[in-house]
Amino acid sequence: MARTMLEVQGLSKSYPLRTPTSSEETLVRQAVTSGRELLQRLRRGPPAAADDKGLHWALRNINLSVAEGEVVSVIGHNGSGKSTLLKILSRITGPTEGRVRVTGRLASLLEVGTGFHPDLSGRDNIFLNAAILGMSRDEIRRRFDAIVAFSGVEAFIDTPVKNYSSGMKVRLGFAVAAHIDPDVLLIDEVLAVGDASFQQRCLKRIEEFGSSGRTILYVSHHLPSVARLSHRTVVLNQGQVTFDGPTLAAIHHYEQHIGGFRAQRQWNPASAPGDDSARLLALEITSGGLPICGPVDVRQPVELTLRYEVFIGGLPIMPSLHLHDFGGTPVLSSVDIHPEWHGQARPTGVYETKAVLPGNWFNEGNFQVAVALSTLEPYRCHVYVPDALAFSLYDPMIGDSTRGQYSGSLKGYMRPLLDWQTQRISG
Amino acid sequence: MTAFEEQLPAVRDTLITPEGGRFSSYLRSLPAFRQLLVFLVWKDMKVQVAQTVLGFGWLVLRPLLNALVLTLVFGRLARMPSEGHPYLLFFLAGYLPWSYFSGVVGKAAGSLTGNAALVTKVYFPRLLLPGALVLAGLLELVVTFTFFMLVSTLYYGVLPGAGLFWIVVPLLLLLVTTAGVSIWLSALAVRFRDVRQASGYLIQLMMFMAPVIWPLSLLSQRLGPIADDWVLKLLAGLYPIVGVVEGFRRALLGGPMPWDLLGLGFITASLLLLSGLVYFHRAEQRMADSI
Repeated sequence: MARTMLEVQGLSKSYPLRTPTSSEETLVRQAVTSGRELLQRLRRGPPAAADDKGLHWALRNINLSVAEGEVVSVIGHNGSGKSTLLKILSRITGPTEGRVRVTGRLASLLEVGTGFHPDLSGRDNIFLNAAILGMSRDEIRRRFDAIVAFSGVEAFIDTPVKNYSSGMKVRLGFAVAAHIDPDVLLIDEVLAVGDASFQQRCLKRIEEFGSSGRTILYVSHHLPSVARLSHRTVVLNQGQVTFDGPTLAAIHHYEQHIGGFRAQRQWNPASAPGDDSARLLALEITSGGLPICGPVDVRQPVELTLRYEVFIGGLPIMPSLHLHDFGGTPVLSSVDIHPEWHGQARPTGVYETKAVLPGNWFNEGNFQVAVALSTLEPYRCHVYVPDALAFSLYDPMIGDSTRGQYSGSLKGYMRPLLDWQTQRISG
Repeated sequence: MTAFEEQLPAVRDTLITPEGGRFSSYLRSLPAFRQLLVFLVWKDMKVQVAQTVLGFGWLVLRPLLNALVLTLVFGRLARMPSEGHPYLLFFLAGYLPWSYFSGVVGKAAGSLTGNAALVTKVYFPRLLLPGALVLAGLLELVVTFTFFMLVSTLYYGVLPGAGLFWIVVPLLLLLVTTAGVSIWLSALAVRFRDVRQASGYLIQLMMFMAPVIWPLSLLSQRLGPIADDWVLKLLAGLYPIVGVVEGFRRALLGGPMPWDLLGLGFITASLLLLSGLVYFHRAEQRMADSI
């Protein structure tokens, strides 16, 4: 039985709500209110206990236990309490209720730059951070070169950190955290900044940490990296743990219940999207004919099935699909040009159309699916459902995807299997 | 196992609770951060020297200019009595501890808000921030002291006597008082936004309340028999800066140490420091939320 490195019991954190009428606390105002309360108490006895009004609970009754060597991810919306949890665990702020026990040395990497002093140079900040994390000067001197090399900011090491780009700050911050050998490492959204090659180095380093038996709590929006790094994931929603279990199931839970990822939708005829010519009845995403559950392996195909009803005969109905990333950037659009139906007048009735997006075709990532039914000449759009469904793809890194044995960064939305040919010309 | 891992201290448990753990264990955790304290002190000293155009020269120039202006105004124009010493020496001897106190306390109010980048991102005992200022200020004290000795020996030809040894007592009182006030102010300034503005004004008031530009003997001269009243003596003594300034003056210019004032001062200063530490520890849990 492995040791418990992190034990969270009944943890809650509340913040006072700032209403428009309340402003910043001042000592003078505090003195006046205290005096008034004292007078009231003398006159009417003790006041009623303060209620919950005016408080925002960022975390409510969190229980969590992480064993030695475990890599646990925490996912959730913005404002779900992820960052507050890490802030309490790294002792930046105190909890309102509950307790936490941490075994051993804990290092944290929160947002951009782990507490750098803007006026000090990169070199001084490395020493400052190391001293904060409890390392001696000698220890840090021994690791100094490795830290600088990992960060890739050698040329700017004597420049004040305030002149660094945000990417450079993250790199330096991660480099320090990566070289102090903590027993427990907390990581928050580092992968949001920094270029792709550095992100890969970070992921690799985190993987090394994990496999060397260190305990990691990893907070991220980047679901593919969560799927790759951890076997266990905790889902936070509105300050509460709504799921704690295997990562793929957790991501599925997140996608279905919180993230707005829906793999299937059905409408009853009364409220179905569409006009009096055609209406959408149901949508479903499957993989290899099976319903999807969590992120799909990039090597597997993804099928989109549309069921719809045509009310007016003689229209050349044309289904189409449109993929976006979660930032709204279009990835691709595709229309059904199968000769059997494309441009052909259809009789009334219920139809089912399936589009297959092949495996080994997309890159890893999250995709939103929009669907439409329209007719051409004259152009008319009968149905358009923007964010209808969503799915995510991840690479299990076994070596037989289109990345082969290359573990570095692959950019872009597509990652198709191209026809590569090499001939030896001479020698 | 690497050599590094062998050096690691035995794995300890950290307990995080709403109260921030026991006060005694908080104090016990401080020595582990001495490396950080050294770093912060060094940083604060570097800032004092490096951030101005004149650099190190400013450290020397500031007491010099202050001494010249105040000597001119109070010594020459107002003809303030100076207990038989040249007014410049009389003033400098009292100004020496005062400039340290006012310099440190003035910066302490902003020590936590000014380091928001650190306080909101990483944990370390926040007490180190005002603590580092108290230590870094000693640099200025040494510079002003050297300046005093130069003026005293070279210009006036006055050498301090054996009584100089006793300067350690008012010096200690000075450190305890400065630490107490700094810790209180730094913690209050995080929660209450008006504290920082008020502190500058407060420091000015405190200077006129202490016998920095005027001699303590003036009290008995002007107030007559009332000044010998033990109540007045008690009130003066409980304001520790009075003991500090008088103590410095006697050690540097000669005369018996004001043990009664120093003793009373130590009572207030210790209470101030102790209560400051307790308040700071309680407030520390919420500091990152209010910055």
